[in-house]
Amino acid sequence: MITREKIKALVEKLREVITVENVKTWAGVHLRPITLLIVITIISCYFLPEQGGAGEFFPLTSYPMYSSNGSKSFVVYLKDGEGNPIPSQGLFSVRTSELKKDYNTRLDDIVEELGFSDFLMTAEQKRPAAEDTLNFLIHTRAPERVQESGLKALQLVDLRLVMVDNKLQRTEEVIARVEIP
Amino acid sequence: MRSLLRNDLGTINYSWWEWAIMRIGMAWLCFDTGETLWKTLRASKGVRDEHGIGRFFDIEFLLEPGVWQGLEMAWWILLIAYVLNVFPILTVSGLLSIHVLAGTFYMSQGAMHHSQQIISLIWIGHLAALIYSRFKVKGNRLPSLLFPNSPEERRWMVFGCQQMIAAAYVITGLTKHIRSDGDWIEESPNLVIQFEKNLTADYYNKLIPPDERATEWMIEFINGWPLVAMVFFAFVLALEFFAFLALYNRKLLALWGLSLIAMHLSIGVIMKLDFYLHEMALLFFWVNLPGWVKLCFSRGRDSVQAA
Repeated sequence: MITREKIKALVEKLREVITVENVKTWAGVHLRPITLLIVITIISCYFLPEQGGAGEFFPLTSYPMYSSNGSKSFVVYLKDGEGNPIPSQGLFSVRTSELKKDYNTRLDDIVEELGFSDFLMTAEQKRPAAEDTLNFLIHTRAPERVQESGLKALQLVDLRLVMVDNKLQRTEEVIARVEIP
Repeated sequence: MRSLLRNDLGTINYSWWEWAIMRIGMAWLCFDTGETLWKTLRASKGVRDEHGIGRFFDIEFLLEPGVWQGLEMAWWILLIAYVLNVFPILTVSGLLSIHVLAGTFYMSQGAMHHSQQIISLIWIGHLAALIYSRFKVKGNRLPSLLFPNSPEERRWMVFGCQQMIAAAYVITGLTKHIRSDGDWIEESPNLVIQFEKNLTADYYNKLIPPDERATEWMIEFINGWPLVAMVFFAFVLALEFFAFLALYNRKLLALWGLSLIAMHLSIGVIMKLDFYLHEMALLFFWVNLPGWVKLCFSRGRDSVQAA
């Protein structure tokens, strides 16, 4: 039976144990050696802004990947001018995840401008982001590889994955096409 | 069992040969990471989004003729000096600076990656410990500046590197908690979407159908046993969140390190992701196989208090 006296005795005992001196000693033994870890963790998790990827400050990062488990996601991949899928890593040394991250950063700007999720956008609304990503790939990210591939045009496909009633729905559409000069 | 609970924070002694093997391991990691960074610099013609220190000055100077090629050469020379343990403050500062520069350029290509950070973090821990031990250990003269080999310095340098590896996992765990508003475990069954996403992305990388057996088994497991899956993911989260506890002693470091490596390997099989740098960093600095040999012969007397 928990009585008032027992609680009082417990509080008294805790008061004896938790003294400034004891806390200092404990911190000196357990926290002081890992000061660097604590500082880096606090900076990375609380001082780096969390919006998009802008909060990253290499080499500091909050490691945001898979930190929120939403019921939607998407993939991006490439097709040639005739509409056949092409292996972006094999041809340009650029993984589809890299293309997706780049495209997603441009999409975030459009989301901010329009004020609603990219899952509600039409292909037309998403087109500037996709064109931007394709142009970056063709002219800056891997220009030599793109030229060596001999392709005439590149198309960016946006493949959406949505969980509805515990079932996965997949929808995909070509968002943009850019000719290779 | 009792030795698992012993507090040896920052007081584990490392032999010169253990430290030498760790340095070789770190150089091996840098060899691998360097390949990725130089390949990007070789192929790219500019910066997409300014990132990190690139927001303060134009990081595209790396593409000027001879600049990144010079840095690449300096990188390899400094790595050799690092393995030989010569001028450590100079070599570690140089390697950290080059990695931050090249890594910033790599991250400024429009897509965020999270594999390279661990290398710079280890260099930061290494440098901080090196500078700290310089101030702490009295009587440092020129010879020890060239070849630091006192047990105390080794202890601090290894501990600095180990701390930064732990920090990476603590940050990962804490971010999961913060960004999901504490619902990460509850929402973990939704990870099946991420599994599907990665399988699809992996297929379109090379147009070669990936081995889907492990992923499909995991998806069936999560859909069939969501509560058990949540307990499993809670364990994974705890492994990351409490990674700092591994620093308490050699045995915990090894056990925790092996558990994290097992976690990475299974995620790799299921999600088609690569954690090579993290796995190897854990293997060299935490698991430290040569240390186990030492432990067997010294009967566990590896801390300052016990020595």
